[in-house]
Amino acid sequence: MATSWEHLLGGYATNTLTDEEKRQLYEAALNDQALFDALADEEALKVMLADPEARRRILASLEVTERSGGVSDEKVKWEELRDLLGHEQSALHLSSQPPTVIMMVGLQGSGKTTTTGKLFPAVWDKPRSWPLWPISPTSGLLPHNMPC
Amino acid sequence: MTRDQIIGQLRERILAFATSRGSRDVAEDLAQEVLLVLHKKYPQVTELTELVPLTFQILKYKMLDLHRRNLRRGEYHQESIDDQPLADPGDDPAMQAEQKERVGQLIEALQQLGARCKELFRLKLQGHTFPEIQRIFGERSINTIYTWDSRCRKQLLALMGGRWGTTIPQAGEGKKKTVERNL
Repeated sequence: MATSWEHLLGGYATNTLTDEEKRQLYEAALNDQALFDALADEEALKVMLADPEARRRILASLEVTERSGGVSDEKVKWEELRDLLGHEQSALHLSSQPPTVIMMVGLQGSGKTTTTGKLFPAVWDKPRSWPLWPISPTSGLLPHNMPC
Repeated sequence: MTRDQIIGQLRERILAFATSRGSRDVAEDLAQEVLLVLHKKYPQVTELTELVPLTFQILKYKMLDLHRRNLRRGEYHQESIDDQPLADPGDDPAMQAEQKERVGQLIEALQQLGARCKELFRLKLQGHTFPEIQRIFGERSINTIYTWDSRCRKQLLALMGGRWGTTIPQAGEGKKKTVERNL
């Protein structure tokens, strides 16, 4: 799971943080050496993007991509996944003999962790009180508060 | 938080950062030089949101300056001073060329990202804030945008070889070492 301040790092070099976000980030940096080091490293990208010519070149390359109208990677992956897993919706079948293994599949940012987090209390509150063990294919068994 | 309190904490952070990238003596000199610039040239800057980025800016230039000074003194390569050209006070052409090359690498790396990451980067470069990007994407939670952006940043950094900046050798070391490494 991303460190609490890590989500703001991406806005530093592009200079797109709001005043409140800046305040949060810089206050944290004064007390956190890892964040301070990360921001110091990010300065190189900031300098690169501060050059108007470099910024223009980068923006132009991104706008060319947008106009080319190609099919997005996400759309291709989503269609592949849908074809693989099926188009129909079906009810969740919980095994009478635990454990029930549920695999969460989705594109990055599609909400796998969020959905799992929302399912957790619903399953936990059931009379059977089955524990939820999030497992990552790369990290193995994770604590309950970690993303799947 | 007062300016003195902020500067006191900044000194500790700069010292630890510079020590992790070189010797303690060099780190102390570097921290001292950064604070001196803040004290002499920017006494009017008191806000945290201005002082911290200003410090990073000065730190970067002081590190580059130190690298150039060491290069001229022959700290990395024992060469005759007669073979070294006179120092140019302007921008180093080699640095400029490397910067241009890094921009090219960044453009190539961006092309390899997914459509969403490209769009996020484009919107940020156009000056949109995260709350504005949230509205453009029509997302209910800003945390979704933060998560996407954090992942896109990591992908981009990996495609850039794990660092945004140039490679600067450390004083007293005979070979190159990445100074501006990233997480």
